[in-house]
Amino acid sequence: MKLRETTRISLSALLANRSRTALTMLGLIIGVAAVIMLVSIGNGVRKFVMNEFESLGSNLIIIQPGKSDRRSHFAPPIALSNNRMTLEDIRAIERRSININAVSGVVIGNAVISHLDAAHNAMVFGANEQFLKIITLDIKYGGYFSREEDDFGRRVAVIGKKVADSLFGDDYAVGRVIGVNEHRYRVIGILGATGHKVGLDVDNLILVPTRAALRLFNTDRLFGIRATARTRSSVDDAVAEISDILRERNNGEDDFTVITQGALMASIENILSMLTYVLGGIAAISMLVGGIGIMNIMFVTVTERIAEIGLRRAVGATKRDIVGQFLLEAVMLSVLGGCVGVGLASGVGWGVSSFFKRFDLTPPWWIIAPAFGTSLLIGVIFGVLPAIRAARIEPLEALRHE
Amino acid sequence: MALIETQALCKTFTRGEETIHALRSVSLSVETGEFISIIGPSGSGKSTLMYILGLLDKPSSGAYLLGGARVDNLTDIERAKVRNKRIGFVFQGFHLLPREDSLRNVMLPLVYSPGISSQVARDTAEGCLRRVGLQDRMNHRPNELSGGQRQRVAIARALVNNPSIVFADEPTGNLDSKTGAGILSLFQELHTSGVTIVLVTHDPQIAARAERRIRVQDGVASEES
Ligand SMILES: Nc1ncnc2c1ncn2[C@@H]1O[C@H](COP(=O)(O)OP(=O)(O)OP(=O)(O)O)[C@@H](O)[C@H]1O
Ligand SMILES: [Mg+2]
Repeated sequence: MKLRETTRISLSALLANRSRTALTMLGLIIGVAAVIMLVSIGNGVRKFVMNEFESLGSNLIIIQPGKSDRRSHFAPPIALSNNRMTLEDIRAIERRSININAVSGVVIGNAVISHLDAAHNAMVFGANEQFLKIITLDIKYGGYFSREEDDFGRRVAVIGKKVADSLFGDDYAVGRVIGVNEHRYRVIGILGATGHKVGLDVDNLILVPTRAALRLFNTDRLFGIRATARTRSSVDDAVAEISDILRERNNGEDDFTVITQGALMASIENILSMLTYVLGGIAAISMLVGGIGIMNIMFVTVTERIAEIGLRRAVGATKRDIVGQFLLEAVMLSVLGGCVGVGLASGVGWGVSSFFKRFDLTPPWWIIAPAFGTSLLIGVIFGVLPAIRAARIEPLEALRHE
Repeated sequence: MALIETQALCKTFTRGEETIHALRSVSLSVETGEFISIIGPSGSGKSTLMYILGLLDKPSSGAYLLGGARVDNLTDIERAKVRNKRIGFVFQGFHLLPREDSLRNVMLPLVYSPGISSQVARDTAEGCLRRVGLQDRMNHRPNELSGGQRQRVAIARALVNNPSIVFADEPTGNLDSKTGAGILSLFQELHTSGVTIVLVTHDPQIAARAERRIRVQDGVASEES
């Protein structure tokens, strides 16, 4: 009965001073909500990036010309690099690497695509016949080009949905001839609606054989190389092989950058954790401030209730009973604040997520236990001093107090 | 065997340089079922004596036996337990919890008695409120009660643990004479039904209601006939 009665009395004391209780909890509410939102944002970004790269396959290896800062893993713009990557490099990798499953050079550029009177700006993406093994693309109608077509640089194209819609509308486009700048290409395949994939608007893409793209842009220089390792565990070996081959072909110079999903994830993880530490520190300070607010108000409460404390002691409450009562009250304040904080963060997370569908900011369910535990701990830590002061009040001193 | 027996109780307070001898060697005894009053002028040490007898304070020296056992050297926790089980208090200023109704106020000592279910506590408290004539004020808060009714709630609270002895310190001090008379009649009734009562007052007329009077003067107690 003691616990139930004490809980009831603490609750009624908190309810008797509603606005004071709410203001006291505010610090902790903000602190808890901030921590949870941080975790949610970190989680959301991680999930977003994961999704983006998972769809590419975890075995993906991206090679760009130009050396980059080792730590950031992001290559400088291709124009700044003197390194030339050519189809010879692709052939060499194909011949000598045993850990890769597929490799393709890529060429990227813009072109005007036309059909009869209709014209459309699209991105031309040159790649070889293995490219579908590297990045999964859904070919809805027709097919993809063959090795032979790539070798000879035949003018065939697989076009994105947006391109097809704008040039042909509802007509069946496979087999039709389109203009790509001044050249004439035959459509052999149409992609299903895909959306964005690693920054490329796949729907507004036209895929052509590598050699055809090189000819189109009048260059022998590749934008970069894409490859996949045979298995997830052979990614590192494949990277080492490719690096050796490219280095050897480039007079021993390391003038290229290799990006893998693992390395990319690691660098994103790095940025995220740095962010989490800094903002987490700020959030921790706000929780601390919340805790001090609770301590302050508990000291006030103890002073206000000296007569009550004296009476309780007179009718048989021990010091421990008094400590328990005030500690419970502080913990109720902090846990209630924590719960409101969790609710607030969840609400904001849900709101944001329902606006930006691709970005999931809902707090992970496991956050509830630590949020609850931390709030409880703060209540205990910052409630213990006022509770001890309450217990130190002698019953007589309190009964004379009026 | 006496319910209360004290031998040479002394109490001194030190305030910086000066020492106040609030009690100088008080020896007295109270039998079970007695109604005694402690009388004396203001500052004579009546309340000090009552607080020591009620285990709210410790004597500076001397022995105190309650029910034949030494209680002047008990630990804080043991003293709390004795106060809870065997002693009831009624104060001049009522000392009720303002946010709680009469029933909850009366139940308060039972909160600190382990092993009592809330149903039993509620029934007991109701019984005590009935005994002081407040059966129709169970769910009123102190600020909805008159002074006399508040003191009755306090008396019911003092009775709720069925104590060996009830101490009342100027229980009519905050009441007008008519209401005070009602409270005194209640004490009389309780005494008749077997409750041991020690009533502290400076008013000889009130003290006269008790069967025995102990006069305290400058910290010295003497039997008055
Ligand atoms: N905590 C204390 N510190 C110092 N002196 C005290 C303390 N408590 C009581 N005294 C002193 O002890 C003496 C007796 O006080 P006590 O309260 O027992 O008097 P009382 O007989 O109850 O008086 P009253 O009728 O006015 O209530 C007084 O001189 C008082 O000043
Ligand atoms: Mg007094």
